[in-house]
Amino acid sequence: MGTKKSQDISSQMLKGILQGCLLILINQKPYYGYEISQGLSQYGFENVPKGTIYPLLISMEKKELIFSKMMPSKEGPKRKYYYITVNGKQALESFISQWNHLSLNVKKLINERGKKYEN
Amino acid sequence: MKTEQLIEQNNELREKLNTENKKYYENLLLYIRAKAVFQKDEDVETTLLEILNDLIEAQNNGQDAESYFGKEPEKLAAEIIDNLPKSFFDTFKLACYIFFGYITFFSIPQMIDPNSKMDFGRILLMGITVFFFALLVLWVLGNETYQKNKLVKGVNYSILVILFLTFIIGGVLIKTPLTIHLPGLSGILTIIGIFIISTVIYIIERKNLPFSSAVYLYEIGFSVIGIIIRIPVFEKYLYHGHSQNLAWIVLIFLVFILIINVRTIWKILKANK
Repeated sequence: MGTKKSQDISSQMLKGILQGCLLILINQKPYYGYEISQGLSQYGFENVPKGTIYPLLISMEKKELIFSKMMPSKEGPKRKYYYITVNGKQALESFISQWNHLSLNVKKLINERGKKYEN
Repeated sequence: MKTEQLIEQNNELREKLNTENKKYYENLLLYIRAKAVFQKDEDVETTLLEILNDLIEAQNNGQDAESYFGKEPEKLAAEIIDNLPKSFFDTFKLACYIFFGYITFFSIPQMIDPNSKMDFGRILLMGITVFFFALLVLWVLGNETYQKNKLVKGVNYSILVILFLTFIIGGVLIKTPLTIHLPGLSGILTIIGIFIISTVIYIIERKNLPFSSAVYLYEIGFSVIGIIIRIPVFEKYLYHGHSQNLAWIVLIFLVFILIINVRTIWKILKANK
């Protein structure tokens, strides 16, 4: 049970972080699914199965952080492009500030108390 | 885009996947379509097409479906369905199609003989049962796609077979006092009415149901026989109050339909191999 719970926490955490990353990408320009997955891989998320982004995109659209439009792509067929909304921009800002705060704290804690566990 | 266009595009694009990727994607597609009973069809098909387009692009870049999408498609498919907004309208629509589809399919053959009574109560009762039965079938199919355990698979199938048999037997044994006698013009008008409903259902749902064309062909035939037999001129020569004559006409018709459908049945058998 203990491991399952900790897995749940880490998958929840990953989802939150992924959502933040998706917002950062989509904020730059409209993206479609495969482009997003490429963007993530480029920044070290190669091992994250890209199937995870689809439920995430659907839930983000439902929360009105993003919206989608069918647009012709470079290769020809129409693709579902995602655009950021005003709500999405706010969520992005709060994600970045929360993340900075969190990573600063964790880094500090590791530096001062947890050095020996680093590999 | 309309749901039908999305499905059509999906069917075309799917051919671009190689054998292995196609298998992976079709499992995902079957699972999502079967499980997403309460979701809006258009949302479901848009997401399926989106994933297909991305898998094709991944394939073109040398990545196979499993390494792109992940090793746990069932879990992700369930998450996708959970996140799609539920549509009560579409569920209601599905319930209506199944319900009316059943009623039209079983009532027209019962109405052919102008002298026999149609047990409308039984058809209504079985129509309601078939609605819940269909939901169960969808649920079992949804579980089955990713079910690797053969025992569980076997149990699932036996449950379906047992339910189906109970259902057929129940359909014959149940008798209700709600019977209607429909001779002459009243019968003709009722048959035309039911036939129009089944035509509408056929036009809307034909792409989603593999056997719909064959079923519809039977409906046309039964309707035509039911109407002709009630027209006085034909009644005199073909029927003359003898149900036996009618049985022969229906038998000839059934054999005729079977011959027409041989190719379709053959195709379905071959596809399932």
